[in-house]
Amino acid sequence: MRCRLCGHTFDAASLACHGSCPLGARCTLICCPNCGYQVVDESRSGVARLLRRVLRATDDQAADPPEPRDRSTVPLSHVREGAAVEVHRFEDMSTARLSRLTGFGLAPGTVVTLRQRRPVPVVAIGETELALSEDIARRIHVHVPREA
Amino acid sequence: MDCHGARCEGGDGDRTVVLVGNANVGKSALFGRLTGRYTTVSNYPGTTVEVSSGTLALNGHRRPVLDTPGLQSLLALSDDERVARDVALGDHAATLLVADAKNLRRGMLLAIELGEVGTPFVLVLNMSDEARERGIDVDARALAARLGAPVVPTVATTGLGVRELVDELDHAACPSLDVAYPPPIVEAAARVAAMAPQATAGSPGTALLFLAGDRSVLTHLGVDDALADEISKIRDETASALGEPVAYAARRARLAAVDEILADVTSQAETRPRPSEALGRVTQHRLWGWPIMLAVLVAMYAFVGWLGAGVMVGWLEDVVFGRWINPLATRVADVVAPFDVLHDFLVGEYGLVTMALTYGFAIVLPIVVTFFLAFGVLEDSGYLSRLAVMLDRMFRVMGLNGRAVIPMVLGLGCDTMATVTTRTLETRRERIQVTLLLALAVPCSAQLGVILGMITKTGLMGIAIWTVVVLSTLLGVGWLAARVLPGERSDFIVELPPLRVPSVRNVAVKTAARLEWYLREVVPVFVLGTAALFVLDRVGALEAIERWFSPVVVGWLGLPAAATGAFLIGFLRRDYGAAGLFALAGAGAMSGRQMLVAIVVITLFVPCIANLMMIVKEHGRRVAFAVAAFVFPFAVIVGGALNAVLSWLGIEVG
Repeated sequence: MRCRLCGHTFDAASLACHGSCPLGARCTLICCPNCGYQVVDESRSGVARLLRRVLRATDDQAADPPEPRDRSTVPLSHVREGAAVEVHRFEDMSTARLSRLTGFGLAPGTVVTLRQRRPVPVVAIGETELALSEDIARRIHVHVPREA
Repeated sequence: MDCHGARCEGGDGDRTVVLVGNANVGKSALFGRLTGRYTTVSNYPGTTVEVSSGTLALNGHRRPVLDTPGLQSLLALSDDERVARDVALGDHAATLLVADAKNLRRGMLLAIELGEVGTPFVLVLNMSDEARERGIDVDARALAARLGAPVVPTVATTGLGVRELVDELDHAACPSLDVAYPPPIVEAAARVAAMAPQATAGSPGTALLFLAGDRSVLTHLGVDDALADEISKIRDETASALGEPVAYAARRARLAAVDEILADVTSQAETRPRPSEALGRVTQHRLWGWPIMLAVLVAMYAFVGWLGAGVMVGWLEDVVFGRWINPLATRVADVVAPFDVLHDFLVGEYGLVTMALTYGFAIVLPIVVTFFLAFGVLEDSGYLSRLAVMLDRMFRVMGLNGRAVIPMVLGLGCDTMATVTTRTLETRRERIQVTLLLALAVPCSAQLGVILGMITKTGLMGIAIWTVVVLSTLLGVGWLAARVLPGERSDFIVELPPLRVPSVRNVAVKTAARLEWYLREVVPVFVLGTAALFVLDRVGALEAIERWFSPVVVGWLGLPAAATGAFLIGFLRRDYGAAGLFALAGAGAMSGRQMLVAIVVITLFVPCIANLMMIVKEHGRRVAFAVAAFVFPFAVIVGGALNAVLSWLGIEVG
């Protein structure tokens, strides 16, 4: 690894201090052999991992909506309430989520109606009404038919 | 692909009839129609998933019937679905594939999957009345011809078509449908079938299930590790050839096949909007949804909290047990059990009759009855999923989603029962998180009554402080737990069934089945718990515990020593603890600040013993221990901190 302070490159696994220091082999710090700067070894410290999780930036809500790559389609979350649209593609979804959505009959080529946007988006697929979280609706890209 | 599974021809493994189908298609209602009242609800082996079994007694038949949880696809995603899949893949005489006639597209997906793995079935077009109302006409005869399996339209809630359905039971057939799978899938399925002739029975359909499923599906279906590795490799190759996951590509091909068939056999006429549809809209509206939610919650609270926990408990406890049963039992015990130990064991302070049975039947039973009735009505009306829509946003703060609304709201009725409903949540992480929050910061109706009675004495300031402390505990601990507990958060994808007037019969049958569960599994727990307390009391351990804790109560919380006993009793029943404090306050033994601190501690404090036992039952001893180990010190720390802050700022309440 590379020291964050002085830039010295060294192999953390072969550090002599872990063998001779009274803190011993279970020490959770790594000292740069050049300048002595200490960094926390997260692979060893459960506390550090816990803190990292706690301090981690909040959930996927914070992420900006992905820019539609394709100009002719819009995310379902941006469609006008009451509009009937055709599903074009799903963006970046886990297999489990894909399976769940297609199990409700929601798949590319299906025509759906956006019933409401708030408090959460609700789409109608035939007689099935489905409430989705907003981040899922954002990843469903649809064709909006041209209207007069 | 057609099915050449050996199961197709046979079908004489046993005579059991199984019901499978998507969620919300009326399987349970149909099950009730087929079996009448003789049903038992039990956990599926090794799981907490409930499976109902009963006996069919119609048209001269007598055969076992099994109901299963909703299933979207044989590629099961949740515990519930896995159980349903295992039942569906079992070797049963007849499978009834129950579909919602107005949402036939989804039922047909499952029909294709069942056909591919060689399960003979009868397709039931349930709720055909609702389909007709919506102008949807399904030509059952044409559909049966296309499928090669019997198709019977029914209305389970009125019993229409059920007799015809029973007549078709022995004609269950394995349909053959042409699905135009993409060539890479067809080739890969053939390779898997050739590789594992035993596991797949040589059927490309079963091979496809292996190919589309993830590793857990393979392991579950008895594929060994080496073969699973091979299949995983083929799956990855196929997915990269397709440019999308195999399961997804296969599903799309099936949907296309379903759409083609349905275009031929169904027709849609224009209809006017129905009133229930408009009502459904209003209940999930971003503005009107709120007053409706409030009204529903108040009504539920009035029924469970006031009628159940107040009026009925009061009468049963004071009159039935207090005046008749307990004095009678004491008199009997005086005669038959003159020894001190046995006498106290039966009718003493922690006695079998005076405590275990009084709790089980006088205090908890009325709450359970009213709670299950209210829950059954909400469940069948379709309102619960609207509640999830309204509250989803708030629950996101806690790293949960709208699905967790149901157990949390029910917790205001009774935390113990609400803990049971955490099983509807998808991931273990969410189940445990909600269980913790229920135990910590959601006061149950019994407790809430006493708390409200007491808190009014601390004035507006006290009420405000209590609300802020409890709410911020709920949100804060939820927020933190979401980050500390391992595991993924689940997707919020919830179907909103149409609002309906619940069928009295269905709600009654369900409540009865749940009551049976309560009497069989929970009441014995009360008896055991009481016996344990009895022993602790006899050996003097209870007194010792009270002594150990009084420094904490007096020193840290700043409460009178007598409050220790109230907290200890609070572990037995939260409201008893609160009532003990109420008595102390009434005697003038506590100042306003002391009262406020005591109320905050008892609100956060302990899940009552029944709740703790339920956590053991649902999540195991380790989780229950962890919850208790967190909640006890946490409640005391918050109470002490509140005491310190109030005295430091010199705030006096009351």
